[in-house]
Amino acid sequence: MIETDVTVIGGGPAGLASALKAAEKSNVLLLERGNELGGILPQCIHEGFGNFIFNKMLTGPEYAQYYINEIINSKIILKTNTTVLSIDPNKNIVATNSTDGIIRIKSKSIILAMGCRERTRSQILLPGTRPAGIYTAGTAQHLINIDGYMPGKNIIILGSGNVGLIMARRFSLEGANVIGVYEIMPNAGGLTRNIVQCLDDYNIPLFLSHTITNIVGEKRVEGVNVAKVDEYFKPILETERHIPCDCLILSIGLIPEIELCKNINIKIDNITKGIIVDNKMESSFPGIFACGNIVHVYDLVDDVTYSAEIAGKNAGNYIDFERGEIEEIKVIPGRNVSYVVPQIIKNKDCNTIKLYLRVIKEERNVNIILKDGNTPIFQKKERIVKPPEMLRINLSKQLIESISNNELNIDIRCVNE
Amino acid sequence: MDIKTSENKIKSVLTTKGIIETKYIINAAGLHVDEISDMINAREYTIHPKKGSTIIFDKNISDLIKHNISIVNFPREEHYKGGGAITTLDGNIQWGPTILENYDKNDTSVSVNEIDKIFKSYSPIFDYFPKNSIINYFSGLRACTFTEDFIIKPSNKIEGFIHVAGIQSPGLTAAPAIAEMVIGILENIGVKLEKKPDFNPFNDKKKIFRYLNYEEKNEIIKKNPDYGEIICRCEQITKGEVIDAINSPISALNMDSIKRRTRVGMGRCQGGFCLPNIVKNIIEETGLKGEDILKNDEGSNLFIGKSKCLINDKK
Ligand SMILES: Cc1cc2nc3c(=O)[nH]c(=O)nc-3n(C[C@H](O)[C@H](O)[C@H](O)COP(=O)(O)OP(=O)(O)OC[C@H]3O[C@@H](n4cnc5c(N)ncnc54)[C@H](O)[C@@H]3O)c2cc1C
Repeated sequence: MIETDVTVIGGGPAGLASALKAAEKSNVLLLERGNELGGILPQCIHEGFGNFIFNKMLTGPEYAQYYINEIINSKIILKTNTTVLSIDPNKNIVATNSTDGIIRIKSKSIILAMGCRERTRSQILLPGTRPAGIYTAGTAQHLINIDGYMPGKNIIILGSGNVGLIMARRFSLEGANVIGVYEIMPNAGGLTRNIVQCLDDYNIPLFLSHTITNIVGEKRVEGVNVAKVDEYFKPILETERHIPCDCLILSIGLIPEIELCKNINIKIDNITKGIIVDNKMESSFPGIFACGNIVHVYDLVDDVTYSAEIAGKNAGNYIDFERGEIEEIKVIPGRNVSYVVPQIIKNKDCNTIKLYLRVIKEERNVNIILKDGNTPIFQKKERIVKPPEMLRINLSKQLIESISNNELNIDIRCVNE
Repeated sequence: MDIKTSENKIKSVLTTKGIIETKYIINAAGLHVDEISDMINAREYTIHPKKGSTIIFDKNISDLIKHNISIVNFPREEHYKGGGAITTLDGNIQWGPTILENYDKNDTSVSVNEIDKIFKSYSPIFDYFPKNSIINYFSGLRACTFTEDFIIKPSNKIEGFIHVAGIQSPGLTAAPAIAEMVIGILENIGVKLEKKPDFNPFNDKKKIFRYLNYEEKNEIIKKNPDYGEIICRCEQITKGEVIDAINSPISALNMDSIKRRTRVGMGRCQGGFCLPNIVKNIIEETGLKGEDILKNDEGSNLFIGKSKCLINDKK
């Protein structure tokens, strides 16, 4: 039995930053199932990380290494190649690895930083055969950048999420022929900067309002059928055509990996599919904190690190006691707001709070309006809002203290409305 | 590949691994029984495959049904049990199978229509099932004959040739009984069968990590540290189990065979995370090259080569 103040599950950017922050005040145990730290970053060899925190564009491995070095120089107890098997309602953790066998851990607080996984073909009910040559974008990235194998030569990419766009460029640089990126929505799923730098710069076409209607091939992928979709996302059969290819890459979304929470009663957000947190990054279960992509899928690693530092600080300070009724303000997504994180503001005597939100549809010249119940208390202009680009709002201490209702409503409205 | 006869008696079988001399052949080739019979002009039936598609759900919703529930359509179609919502032994719920004539014996694709059909018949009853918990769908072909019944009998043309044909559903359930019938037929045509006195029909029970309690898990890891390393996070399959499958007497060397032995890749991520690890294990255990590792059959290579292979080709 290991006893510790804070156990961090997951050694990606969220786990690393939260462990470091928690270790300023407490004993910390960091568990990672992979054989190295950094989570998804070691395979992200492109640049684009750390613009806010380091004021420069680092590659994934470089960004991770900064935190890994700090971890190595800290007193944090680190176990890699160690998989957590279960967490129970008494915050007992069971993990396994090959040297210790079954490890039992008793921890005062826990930080969940298990990240997310990719949606697969089955979740979008993609029909056809089941040949070799179908990979999710993240798996393809691992195969090329870490393992050193080429998944295919003539590539079709379904979905224009960021990993898919990055992989379109990566495949091109590897000498493969990227035939096109097909996106079922009328707008791209990834950041504009990635559309420009990964598709436009490499002359890779993006087909919006298109989907794949069939996968053909017995042994390897031999081709796919693609078609335009109507406004209800149903394929228009007259537009269906066959495109030969030997590899299909899927970039159709990420889902927070919350499965370890099945034995503890933690509230999940229906939209993000991630763990609901308050402004301290504490989940609905006292003493269990969450940060990074297990909360919602962030656009930028810098924001993951920020959220992780909040989780780490509060997990490090966590003291188990009867807290009685704590006043709660629910943050409620309104017009053209898909979701907001944190979903709950629990503690008014905090400094600033950063709200992250995503819109449902693209709009121009809008105001982000915050309402204390029904009374507008804050307004911010945006020239353009798009679903792939996360919005950030900083709430000042003063503003937070002024809230008198237990609901903070957020709307996005066109300026002239 | 071929069968030799002389004077209407079985002589030998030609296989990809050489010629086997024999007096008796049990033709239990499933979908291909008619083609085997054709080799010696002993066909008495034709197989018309019927496809069945099934949808499989994530284990984390297995609590949604407590019993296996069958859907019976009226009027009842003949020779079709009707399918249903069934919990597999491993705890996944499945919907299906459907039934559909399908002339191509190799076509196990699942079409939009099939998926729609399953939803149309099951969604009204199980409307509380989350669609986003579907982790895969498969189809298989039933080896049906036009008499729609098992054909288990000696050939009336070639001596020593026994038909075990038309073994469509419930052929799996019936298999032990079919075996006894075939033994009876063999004895009738004069084959002397003796029971081996030392035959042990039981396999040593394999230790399956996910079913062990923590004490047992600890014990097995102490004996073989590879059992402490989880390779497939969704199904909690260990490196030890994968290596055992690779090194077993009938060695599993491709992705699908390792998957069927151990369940790696059968969970919600469908192998996205564990595939690179399994490739590494196969290479370490066998010395195979990564680019030669297959998904299943010859030609189903996972990769077209090493990174940079396309750039080097162009030079
Ligand atoms: C969708 C579906 C649902 C089903 N549901 C049920 C059910 O609920 N209950 C039930 O009892 N049954 C069910 N079945 C039926 C059951 O699966 C079959 O009846 C059973 O598999 C038939 O066994 P078999 O040994 O006759 O043929 P198969 O399982 O088809 O085996 C034949 C074998 O012969 C090999 N072979 C063929 N040709 C050659 C050759 N030339 N050389 C060497 N090898 C060769 C093949 O590779 C294969 O391994 C279902 C089938 C399907 C498709």
